[in-house]
Amino acid sequence: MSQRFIIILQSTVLFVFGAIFIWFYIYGRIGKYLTSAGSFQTQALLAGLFLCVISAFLLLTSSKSVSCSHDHDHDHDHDHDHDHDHDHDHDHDHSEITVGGMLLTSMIVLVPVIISALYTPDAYSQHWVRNNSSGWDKGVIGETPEAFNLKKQVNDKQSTKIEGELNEAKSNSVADAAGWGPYTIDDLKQQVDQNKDGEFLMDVISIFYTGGDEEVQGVVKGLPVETMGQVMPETNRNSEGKRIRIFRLMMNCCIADARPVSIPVEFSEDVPGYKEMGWYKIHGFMDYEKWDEFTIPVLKANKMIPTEEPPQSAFGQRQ
Amino acid sequence: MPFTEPSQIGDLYFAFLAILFEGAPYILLGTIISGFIDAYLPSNIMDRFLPKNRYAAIALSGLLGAIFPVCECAIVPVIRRLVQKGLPVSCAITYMLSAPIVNPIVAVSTFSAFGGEFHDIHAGDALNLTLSRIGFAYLITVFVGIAVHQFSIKSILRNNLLKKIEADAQTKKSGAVLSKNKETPDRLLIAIRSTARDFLDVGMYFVIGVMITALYRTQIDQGLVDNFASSDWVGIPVMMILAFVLSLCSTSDAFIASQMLSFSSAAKLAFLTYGPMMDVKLVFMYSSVFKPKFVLILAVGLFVIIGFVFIQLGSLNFF
Repeated sequence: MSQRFIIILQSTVLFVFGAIFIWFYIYGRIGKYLTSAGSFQTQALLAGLFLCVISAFLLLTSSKSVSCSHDHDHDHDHDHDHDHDHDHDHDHDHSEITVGGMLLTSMIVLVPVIISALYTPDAYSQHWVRNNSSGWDKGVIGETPEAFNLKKQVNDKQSTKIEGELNEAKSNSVADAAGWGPYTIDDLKQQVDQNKDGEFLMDVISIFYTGGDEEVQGVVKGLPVETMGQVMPETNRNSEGKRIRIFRLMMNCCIADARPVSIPVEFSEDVPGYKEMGWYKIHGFMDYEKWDEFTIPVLKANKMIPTEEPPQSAFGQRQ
Repeated sequence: MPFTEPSQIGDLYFAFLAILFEGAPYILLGTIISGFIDAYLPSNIMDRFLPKNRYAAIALSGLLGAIFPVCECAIVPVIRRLVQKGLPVSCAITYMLSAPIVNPIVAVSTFSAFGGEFHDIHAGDALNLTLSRIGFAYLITVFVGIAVHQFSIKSILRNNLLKKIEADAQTKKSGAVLSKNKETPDRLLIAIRSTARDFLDVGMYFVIGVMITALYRTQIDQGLVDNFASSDWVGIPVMMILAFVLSLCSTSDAFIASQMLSFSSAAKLAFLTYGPMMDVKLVFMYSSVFKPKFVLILAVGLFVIIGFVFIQLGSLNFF
């Protein structure tokens, strides 16, 4: 009886666990937790389905006792009457799972998972953003992620064209020999959409990474741009109080490894009223400033409009 | 839709679920494999495939990840079952520590994270860092395997696992033979029940580890670590401690490390070597197989060995 109860308990825990995975996937919430790059979201769904299938299997077979995969020798000495059946079944594991132990395990596994699933806000708070904003006074560090590298995409898209031009020019420069042509406004127009006012629709992270490439800066500087993100007060180099920060989250696999990537936004007059952590579209012109050894992109804003949170609120580093 | 607004405690739930959604599918995969090993793999089968010479067996075990790539979450239940099935503990630990690093998936992700291009066979730093990560991880895990070989398994394995191994040995000694007339459904039932049991056993430790990791990721100022990047003597231990508490997946940790340019290559490699072998969630998961004292010795031992190796290599400007 206790063995069956333990199996039913295991089945229940696995079902709840699996149902949470499926629930988050079906309602589209999984995208807030796992990057769309790779197969992380699909893996979560499959795990949920498998857990539910295993749970159902356990429940349906809970009354069945299983025999061990090996036969035990019974040629031992004994003095009792030997007319009993030796072909008996017994639990295979030889382990001592108790009902109490199983209840404790179930509680440890389920309680945090259920509470988190019920009370998660699907977003980080200001507190988390502040805890992760120590790098906001620095510029680009390290390689530009492929998904946000403007120059690289152009190189891929136009490789044939550039290759042809290079052959024609027979250039001896290292960059040209490597297949890299000069970056131009035409390249930017090919990869970045423009709104009806001619502003380039650039995401915050791509703008941030332009700070690591002087050639791209030469093209982007002074251009009209529209970007979107969450805003926070600016705490760096903001003595006149005319600046705020706009940021987006960039994650690798899951939102727990995310970091907020941001740029300063400067208004010519006072900063208009805004809600911290609110989502806004900001229109303005691109500029760059030197902050110590870093080049920081600064959006000189002329308009800030509240907007809805987009379905993909965090970008994957590997798109 | 979430039922709550973002808050400091909500950050914890959010990060906790994210790591859970990312890691649990791999644990499920590992426990399914372990369940089927339990049901279908005869005891001591591993002896037939490994060299008789124990040192050669340990050296080979360190390379098994290249053929059977398993991440650090999935490997714990697999190892637990393989040890029960007769895999020598020294080989099991070598495989357990090396497989999350010495495998093709991690090689590709490390190479990509450090800016390597696959059409460029001279991808300098990226290739150097990738090969160094895999090579040194292999050497260190083989060294640990040889060291573990000097100890009795009674001082390493948990008592319940020892009892199972002894019970299996007794069964074998007393003349149990593999049954040829057992029906398939019994084995399937054994496999599924083992899967469920293993998933909850390992899952319990995983949940505890994830809670602590989520607590660190959401409640502590993440910028504190940058203050320790000045020298390898401080930077390398700090990066290993960071790897320990961040508990990143080995397939994605290189993307985080590549962004930490304030740290040296040696410090980043220490981060990338120690993290997949030992972190907060692994401490708890290892505790389902090994005695707590052994887990502590392993954590400290790895910390000292990896720290020593990379401080020396850093001082020689090896990278």
